[in-house]
Amino acid sequence: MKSVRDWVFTQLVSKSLVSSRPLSGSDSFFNEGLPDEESHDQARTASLVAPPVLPDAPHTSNGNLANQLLQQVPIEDSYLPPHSSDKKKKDPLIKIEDLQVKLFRLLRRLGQSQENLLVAKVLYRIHLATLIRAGESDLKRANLMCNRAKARAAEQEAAGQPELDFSFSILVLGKTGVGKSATINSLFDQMKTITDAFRPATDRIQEVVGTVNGIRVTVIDTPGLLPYSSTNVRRNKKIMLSVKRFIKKSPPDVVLYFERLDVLNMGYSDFPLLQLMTEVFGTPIWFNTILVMTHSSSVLPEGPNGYPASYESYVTQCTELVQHHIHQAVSDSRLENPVLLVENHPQCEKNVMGERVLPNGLVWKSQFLLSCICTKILGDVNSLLKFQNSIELGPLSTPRLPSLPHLLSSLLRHRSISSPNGMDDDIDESLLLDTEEEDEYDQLPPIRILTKAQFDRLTNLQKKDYLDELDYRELLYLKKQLKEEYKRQRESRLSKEESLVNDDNADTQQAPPEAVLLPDMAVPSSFDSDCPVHRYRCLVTSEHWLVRPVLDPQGMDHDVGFDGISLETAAEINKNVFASVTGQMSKDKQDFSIQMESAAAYMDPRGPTYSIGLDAQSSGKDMIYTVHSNTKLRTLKHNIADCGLSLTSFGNKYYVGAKLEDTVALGKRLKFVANAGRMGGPGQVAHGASVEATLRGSEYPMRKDNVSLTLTLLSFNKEVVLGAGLQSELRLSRSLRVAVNANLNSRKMGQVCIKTSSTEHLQIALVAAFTIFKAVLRRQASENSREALESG
Amino acid sequence: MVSLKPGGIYNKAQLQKELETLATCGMFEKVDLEGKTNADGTIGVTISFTESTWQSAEKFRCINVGLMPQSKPIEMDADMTDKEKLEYYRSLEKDYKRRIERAKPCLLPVPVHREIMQMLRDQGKVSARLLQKIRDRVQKWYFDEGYACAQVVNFGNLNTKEVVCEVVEGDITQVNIQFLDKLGNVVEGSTKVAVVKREMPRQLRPGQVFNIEAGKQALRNINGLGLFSNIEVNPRPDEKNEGGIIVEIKLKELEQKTAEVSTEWSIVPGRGGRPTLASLQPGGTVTFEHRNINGLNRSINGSVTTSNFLNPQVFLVISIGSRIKKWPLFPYLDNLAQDDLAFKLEYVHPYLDGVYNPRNRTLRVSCFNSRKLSPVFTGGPGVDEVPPIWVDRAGMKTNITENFTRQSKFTYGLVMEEITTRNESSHICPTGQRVLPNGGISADGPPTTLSGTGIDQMAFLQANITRDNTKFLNGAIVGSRNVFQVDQGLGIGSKFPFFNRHQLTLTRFLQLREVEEGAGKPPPPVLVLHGHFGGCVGDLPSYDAFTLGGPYSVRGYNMGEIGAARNILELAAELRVPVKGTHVYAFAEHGNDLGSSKDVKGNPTEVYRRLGHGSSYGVGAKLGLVRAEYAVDHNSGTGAFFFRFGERF
Repeated sequence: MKSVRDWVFTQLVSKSLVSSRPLSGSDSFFNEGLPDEESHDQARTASLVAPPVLPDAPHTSNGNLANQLLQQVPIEDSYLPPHSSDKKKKDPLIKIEDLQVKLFRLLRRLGQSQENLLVAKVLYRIHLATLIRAGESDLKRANLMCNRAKARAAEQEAAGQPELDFSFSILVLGKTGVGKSATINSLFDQMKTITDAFRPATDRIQEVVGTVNGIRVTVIDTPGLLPYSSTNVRRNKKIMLSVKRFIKKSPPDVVLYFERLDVLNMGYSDFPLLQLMTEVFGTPIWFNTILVMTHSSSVLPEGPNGYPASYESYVTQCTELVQHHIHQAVSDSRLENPVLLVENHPQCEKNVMGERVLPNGLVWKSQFLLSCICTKILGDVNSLLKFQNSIELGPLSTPRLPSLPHLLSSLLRHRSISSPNGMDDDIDESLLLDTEEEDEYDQLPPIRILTKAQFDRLTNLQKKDYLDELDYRELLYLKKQLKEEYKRQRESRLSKEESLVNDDNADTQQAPPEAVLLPDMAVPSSFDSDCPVHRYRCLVTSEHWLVRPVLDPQGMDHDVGFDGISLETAAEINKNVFASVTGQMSKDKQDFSIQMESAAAYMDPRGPTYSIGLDAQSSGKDMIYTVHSNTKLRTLKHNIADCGLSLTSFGNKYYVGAKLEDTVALGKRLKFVANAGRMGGPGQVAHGASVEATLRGSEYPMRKDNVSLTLTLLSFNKEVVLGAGLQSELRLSRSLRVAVNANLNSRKMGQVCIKTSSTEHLQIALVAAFTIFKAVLRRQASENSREALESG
Repeated sequence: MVSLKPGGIYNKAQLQKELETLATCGMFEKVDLEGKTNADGTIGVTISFTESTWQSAEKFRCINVGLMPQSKPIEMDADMTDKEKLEYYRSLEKDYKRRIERAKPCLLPVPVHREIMQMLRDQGKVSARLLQKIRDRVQKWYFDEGYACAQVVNFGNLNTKEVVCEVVEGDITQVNIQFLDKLGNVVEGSTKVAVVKREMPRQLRPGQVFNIEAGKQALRNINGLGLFSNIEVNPRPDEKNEGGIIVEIKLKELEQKTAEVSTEWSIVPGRGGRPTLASLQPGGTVTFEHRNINGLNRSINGSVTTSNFLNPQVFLVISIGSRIKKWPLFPYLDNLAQDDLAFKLEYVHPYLDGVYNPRNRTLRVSCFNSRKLSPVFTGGPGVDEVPPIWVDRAGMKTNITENFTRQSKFTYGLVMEEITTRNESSHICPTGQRVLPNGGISADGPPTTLSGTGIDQMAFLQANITRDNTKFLNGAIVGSRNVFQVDQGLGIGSKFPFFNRHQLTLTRFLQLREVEEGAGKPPPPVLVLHGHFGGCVGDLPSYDAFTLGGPYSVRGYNMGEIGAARNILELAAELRVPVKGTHVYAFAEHGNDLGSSKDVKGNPTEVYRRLGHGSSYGVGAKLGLVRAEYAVDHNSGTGAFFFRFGERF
């Protein structure tokens, strides 16, 4: 990963870059998979390089912005002398240069050298910001800018003109009694506001205006915030909201957050306050914030070794603490706020000039002003270069992008909804109704059912014959039942059509059904004495919604663990339209997750079925939406053609997919399904196809025995993955069923699953006993080895 | 009553028959049928009749003549003398009187009786039409009450100032329980009939009058056994015993035994690029169930899930330095509670006092493990980064539940469990972790276990007595529920834990307006008052401390967000207003640790900066079993939406 600085230099070196190309859009920058994450990471490195108000690395969109900016400013213009005021539009670079000039002039007035570490940092960052924003053509100029500004500043200051026009506004925030108003007074060297050493003195927001070193300074003094407790949260919130209203019209250039150095609480108690601030003012407030430590000359508390800690280390410790809290409040550790130390006590040490100095010999007031000025200038640079909106604080979100192959395979596998009464199984139905063997079951001779004792007396062969006979009868019985079911459905459909034609004003209002209490729901076992089944008692209602809880087996201790809700509904809106919704969701204090599928289908009696659906899924804080539509054509008796379209949106990216599918039934038992699809996203395309052959058992559809073979082909990024799958469900004997599922792809990855279920042979469950036995053996072994280790 | 229709074609025999039916139905004294040929060849039929009337009656009596021989039609020799006739009539009258005396009294209540008397008085003369009206009224009452087999068969004793209504109410003569196989053939069932019989309500016993509601109740009760896939309860007229009803119960039994083994292997590229199995040993699930052992509804079921079940991974915990002395309480379960092995084994033995004993006690022995997050180690408002503690529990629970009613029960038993506390990375940790102000993590938080090693074993007695007479009134719950729970330590286990933990929960659902009960009628508004006190004396490991906050404690908070304490008190009130078949509600709740947070070892409430008390209020709507609510937590003043399954109370 490259840091921004590296990146800027590579940009400088590579002359071949076409200027019209967006800088950050160059392909080499992004992995195919995760463009967002990459740029976030860059942002992080950038901010590590540069302290307070960081011009952050651009996002992809900002690159385009810079590009536009470039195109707006003709290249020849940029070589005009900076003084030319006849230009209609001022080049932002020139404005920045003006700001630099101002900075140098102020430095001179404050008597600070240009080699001051803080100033150097500021200059470096202005430079960096300009480099990022400036096009290649401007790079040279940008490099020159600083020196030129220095020269101009000296020149202007000597001449005393043009008049230095610089002012800034400060917002003061902090707990009550830390000395906000006192600091304002010391700043202006006069009693601008009332202070009181013991009681909160400022009870409302007030604006204090004054001039310091020829700079017009506006200070917004605020009432102190109260220490954290449940009752104070509301009051603090009220104060902050009123401050927010106050600064709405003219946002302050600099925010000072006050804290007492001497009685700094080493615990957590300030943290909720900082969090509340973030909540009320928003994270951007921290960009322009300077931490101010008051009472800096007080006697230091004793260190852990009994001696007073050294001043520097103590200050660093306190600063880190506050900074850490701020990081937690914005949940981002990239932020770094400058720190100022202040002492307002009248007996504070003073130097020969009469300026107050700190125990470490620094004159705090000029430092204070300098910091404010730097913050203000950097803020201006940011707004000039339009960086403000590109910086985002907060926890790093790592957006999981949906993978195209996954989307594609889900599209290929997607089945359109079937109508509630299963009319989709038309092929099955016709299969069954076509066979004109009328009521085989009824033609069977009567059978004498044996009692257990009688059965036990039979010989083994007789037993087998008897059971086989029963089996055969069961099969025929099932067949009869299925047939009757289909017939009934068909009749009801017909009669419904009739009734729809005949009487529209049929009395549909039935008496509400009687409410029946459901049996108590089974809750997972726990060691508690509580068994809260009463929470889940309910009456059966006629609603079509099926609501079930989602059990989280790893929930909270002493809790049942029903964590979410699963909803299911299917409705027949009218004769030809069906709709269904299934979903799962959970909403907690903070977290929200949902997974939902909905679909509606219109069945044209002449054949085609049209369906449309919307799926939604939450992924972290984002939502993935998929809209899909499907058309099913049943022109031939044994052939169903199907085509579908889908549109997936994730964040601001869209993926479009399409598929074609054809199902052919050969005879009763053989079925082929072939499909092909394509899924395209931003700059990427995936193709896929699959063929599936299913062979059903001879007793289909009474028994679901089947074997199916699947071949899939997926191509993405010039890579082709071939997969094969085998799926089978077999009835091995009267009471034993086996389902086998195996798949393998050309990457040599795969899975084999075997599922055996029996209704007679409980012995197969002995595998579990074996497992436990093994675990116990292992434990014994480990115990022994531990004993050995402990004793030896 | 006339079955002839205009436009129909009838022959003479049919007309004759029609006339006969009309004449013999008892409502008419005289019926004439007269045909007149119209000009167009059709025939107009005029039926003229004289309604039967009798003397006006002053009394009404309803008798149940079910199971009695029907009164025989009067056969009279034509050549009887008057005296003989008189004698005969007298004997008839005597017979009838005896019959009335022998008949069982009717279920018909006094108000309906009075209503009919009024009808008689209003009418004056007893006419056939009036009798028909009376019959309809009587039958309507029976049907409305669910006596679906009741029928008025005769009116007797007319002309004697008293109307006697003879009703066959549908007395149950026999209850017939049949087991069917898949094909509907009657077979020998494996379930003992007594098991089914004891689920039958009293009203469905022989000698009672068949009521459809009792039938439904039986259906539900039998279904509650969970032994049958299909249940039918049908009344059938008794052929041998006229007027009697045989209740036929047809049951299809479920499979007694089921077992399922599912195994899974993954294939990965192996040596030489050939696909090979990642491991020969599969992962998977084994479940088995044996229901209805001995036909007495005893069942045993179990499941084992593991990622690799032939060779479950067992972590070896070695503590060097401090030697862990372990109590050999359950040597086999130790260390089984790992993430890759979940097991559950349960044996249920109902009818502990015998299947014929009305006392209903069920023995339940279960052995299982669970892994859950501890709500004790969660942060207060604004503290996100509390490293979670997993509480693994594995052990055995044996208890006996005695059901007094469907909802009220008394459970008592013995619990032996081993508790292992683990940190995020599944390592056993004896103390909770906390995030230091500078971002570091320190392991000197509150102790997680009593023994201080991260592994506790203990055995204790447990009891729960619930008195629950809540019921659904038009869909709204009304009534009251009191629950008292107690855990009594026995001094058996790590550090010989001796404790008493008790909880009392009182909930009242107060109906605020009287409403009429019935399907489709609106439910009443309900005020719910709820109080919960929990207290603990003696040794208290943190995983068993009471926590405040959560969907069933103080809504609007996360579980444990208010605190973890030795004694707690929760109070809640909720007002439910019915709206369109469901209800919306407003609530206010408060939870308080009564200053006992500091009595929990290490004071986790303070370490994770929780207040120890908190209130909340909010509104919500009930959608089926789902609650959608907006709750404001008063400690931080922020609100949030919640979706929950099930009731709060």
